[in-house]
Amino acid sequence: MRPAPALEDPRGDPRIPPLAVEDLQVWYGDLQALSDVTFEVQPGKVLALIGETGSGKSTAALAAARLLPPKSRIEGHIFLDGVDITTMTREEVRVLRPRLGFVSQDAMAALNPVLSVGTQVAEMFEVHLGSSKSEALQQAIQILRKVQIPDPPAVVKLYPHQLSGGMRQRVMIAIALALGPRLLIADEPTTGLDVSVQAEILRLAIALRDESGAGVLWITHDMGVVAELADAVAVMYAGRIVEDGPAEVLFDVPRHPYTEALLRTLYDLRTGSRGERLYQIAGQPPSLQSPIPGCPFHPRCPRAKELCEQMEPSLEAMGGSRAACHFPLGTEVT
Amino acid sequence: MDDAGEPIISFRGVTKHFGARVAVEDASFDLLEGMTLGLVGESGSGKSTCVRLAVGLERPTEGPILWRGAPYRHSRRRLKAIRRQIGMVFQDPYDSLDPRVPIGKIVAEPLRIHHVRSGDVVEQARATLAAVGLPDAPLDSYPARYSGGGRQRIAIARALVLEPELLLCDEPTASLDVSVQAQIVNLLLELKTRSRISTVFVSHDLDLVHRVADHTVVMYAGRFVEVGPTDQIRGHPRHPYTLALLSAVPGDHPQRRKLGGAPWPQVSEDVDRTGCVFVARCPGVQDVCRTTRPPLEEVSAGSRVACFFPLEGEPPEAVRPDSFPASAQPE
Amino acid sequence: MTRRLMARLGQALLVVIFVVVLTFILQYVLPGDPAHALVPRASGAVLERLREALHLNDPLMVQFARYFGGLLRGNLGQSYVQQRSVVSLIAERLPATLLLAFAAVVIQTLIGSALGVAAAFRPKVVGKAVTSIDLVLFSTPSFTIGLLLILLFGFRLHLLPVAGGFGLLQLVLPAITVALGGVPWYAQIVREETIQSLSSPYVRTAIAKGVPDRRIIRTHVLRNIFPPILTMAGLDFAGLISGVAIVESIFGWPGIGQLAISSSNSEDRPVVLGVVLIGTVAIVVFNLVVDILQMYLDPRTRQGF
Repeated sequence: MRPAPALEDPRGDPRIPPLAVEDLQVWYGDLQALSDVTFEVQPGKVLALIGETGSGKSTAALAAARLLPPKSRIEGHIFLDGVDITTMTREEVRVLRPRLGFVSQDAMAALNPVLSVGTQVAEMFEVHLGSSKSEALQQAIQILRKVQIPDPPAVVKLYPHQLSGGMRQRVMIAIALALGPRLLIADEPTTGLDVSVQAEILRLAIALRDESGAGVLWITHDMGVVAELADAVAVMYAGRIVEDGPAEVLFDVPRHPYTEALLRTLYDLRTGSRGERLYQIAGQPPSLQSPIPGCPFHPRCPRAKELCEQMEPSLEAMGGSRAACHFPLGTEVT
Repeated sequence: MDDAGEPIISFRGVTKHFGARVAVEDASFDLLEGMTLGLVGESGSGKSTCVRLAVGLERPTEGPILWRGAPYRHSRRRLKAIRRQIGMVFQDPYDSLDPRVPIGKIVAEPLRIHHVRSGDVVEQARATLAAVGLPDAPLDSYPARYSGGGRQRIAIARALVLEPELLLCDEPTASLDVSVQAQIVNLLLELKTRSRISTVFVSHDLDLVHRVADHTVVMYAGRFVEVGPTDQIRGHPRHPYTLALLSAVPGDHPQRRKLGGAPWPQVSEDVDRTGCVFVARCPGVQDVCRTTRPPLEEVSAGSRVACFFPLEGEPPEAVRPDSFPASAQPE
Repeated sequence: MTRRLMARLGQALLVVIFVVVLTFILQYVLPGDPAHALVPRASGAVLERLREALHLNDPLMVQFARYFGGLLRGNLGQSYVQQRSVVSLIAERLPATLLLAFAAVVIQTLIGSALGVAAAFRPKVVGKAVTSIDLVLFSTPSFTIGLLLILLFGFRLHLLPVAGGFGLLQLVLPAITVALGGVPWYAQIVREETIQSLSSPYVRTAIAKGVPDRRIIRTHVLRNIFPPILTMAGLDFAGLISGVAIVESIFGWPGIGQLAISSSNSEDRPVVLGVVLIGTVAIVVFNLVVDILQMYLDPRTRQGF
């Protein structure tokens, strides 16, 4: 067996972030999905990207993983372990893939239905480590054990449709972590799963992050998940980051009205009384086809003024976080 | 509790098998007039099957279902008469509305199916759309024009146009953005206060069910494991599964993380139905639980639990629905 | 599982019976007098005696009952024209048709799939070229293609024989003619399936895993598009057993298609009926076989076995 190629120890140089994205813009044809998105994922920490439909959170994840469909256009920079992968060819990126684990939503669709689970996990080892089929299968069994799948030697023979949703998602995580990547990108991995299964996957993610020291970019629409998992948060709306900062700061002192609205929605849901109206945000998230001038949140914002319709605010530091708002919370609105 | 009236739908020991698989086992409850019943469960719990049984899309293997005291007869005419009184709202507003049909026709369709006088049709459609918060929506517009929330309103209008006695909502907000979800839930709450309509609200989201439903049924592996007033179930869960479900819901602040605890065991899909169906996962399981099926029994006023060792006392702090501490309230 | 199988077999049987009845009735209803065709100069009493001998004056039901009875015993009757049983005539020529159909299916599947995959990967240049080729092949009737090929390779270039007969060299042109007719279907379908497969979530996962493109095509894409292609090929083969008649005639390929045409011209009804029957049975049987194979190949439906 060929020795494993020298991959950096995941706890390698802590000064180089596993992922850094700068001024990223993405277009699907003529529609702009992301505008000037900048963020960093630190080693051993989870950055949660939270947003609703049309926020661009999935696009950001796919862009960072160089998995966007061919019809899209990227501008800006993506740095994987300090290496600019934005304009690399597909083959150049492919060689770097062992450093980037990707977990997508809907594991049933993301796994090949006609190949056994074992084959699909083992493929990682065959392709990148040159393992033989039998060696790779053994390695696959080991990694399945790490993600707490019961009886891996039996599971490797099964097909994706024979597993439960939670098990399938664990298989995806196993594939993503098989080669000890320094970065894990997870695109809404628990959306659509039962709440108890989600809890299990979240527990697993926390344990694996602590053990592997990898940086994690976690995409979600659920503030509760952010609360459980995130060290840092970036709130996305209409293809932009509207607020970002350490999780505790964001939850304690939100600056952007949208962040505050999301938090209030969450608290209201968790703590309100029976029959009481839910806290409601007016309107709906904007679509790609009809971009909104000025601040994209202004039609729904209780604090909006004329300025908000005319000029789009840029991210500015305030306290421990950054927010893109002309009248952020904590300042007077006249 | 609201003054509820006569039973509208009653399940009396209903069981449904699909071949060897048991989807629902021995389900009994009464849905009263004016009551909003929450049906909570995860995948495989049987809640969808219960919904299908209620509208006659499936026939029970055992046990009668009663409509206002009379057992369902699965003839087309009889089912049609029952279905006239049930309005259904489904999960996916993108699937449940025909994209090629203008919304006026969509909303009016039940009127046509049940042969209501045609003169009224347009007016009723318009009035119903107004009642769901779309008073100015042109009747000749198409669903594509509307967002998820808008479409769900149209679906609710369609469900209500015949002024049915029962509104059946199967995960009506699960596909919606969280900022829109509240709009729909508030609409349902409003409809509830305006009319005496009874509602069944099926969801996996316990917080939503808590807001909307005055009574709740918790299902696991086809069985009712806990039934009672929602406040009680939420505030003092008695069945270990109910507690586990509440514990699995993520917290609301990084300093109040809930999920660090003991993992939820992985179990196979085939459940041993000899005893309690929850034995593979229950932390408090005893021998009797494996051998004997716990009956659904009353433990306190109005609450029934299927457990030999129901939980007592206060639930753990992480699960308690106290108000968020004032000191950390967002501005 | 077996219940479904039995139901399918029953269904298949019904189809065969239906086609037999239909063909029989059509033969009966069509104008033409076999007796006359046999002995054109006969008249009056001789013709009448011939008709009696051939049972042509019996009522339809009686003729059919006689035929069907024979069928159940494996007897397809006697040729009116030649002094031989239909079964022996068909048996003699069936292998040639099977060979032609098989060769054509193999060629068209390979060429069509290659074109389809290439078009899927390079939609701009190759894709457009393939679309044009497809259009030409779709629109050109098989006999035109056949005659053109004979002209070119037979008469002009003297590369291949033109006289007809059974043999490997003689197989080339007819097989290619038939295959070219089928290539556009395969090219289109393979292209569609490949594009779909390439944009599916599981291929995205494979890309995310860092699997090289070659391996993605081999392991992920091809394995997923293989079952529908196999189905098409199987059904095509069965259909070609009846469908290569014209090509067989043009090239003088001694198969059952050529037999059917000449028998039809000479009003040799039992032979025509025999060929129709064989063709139908082939299609029905292959339909069933291909369905079963499909179910077995997809692990999601393999459970029943």
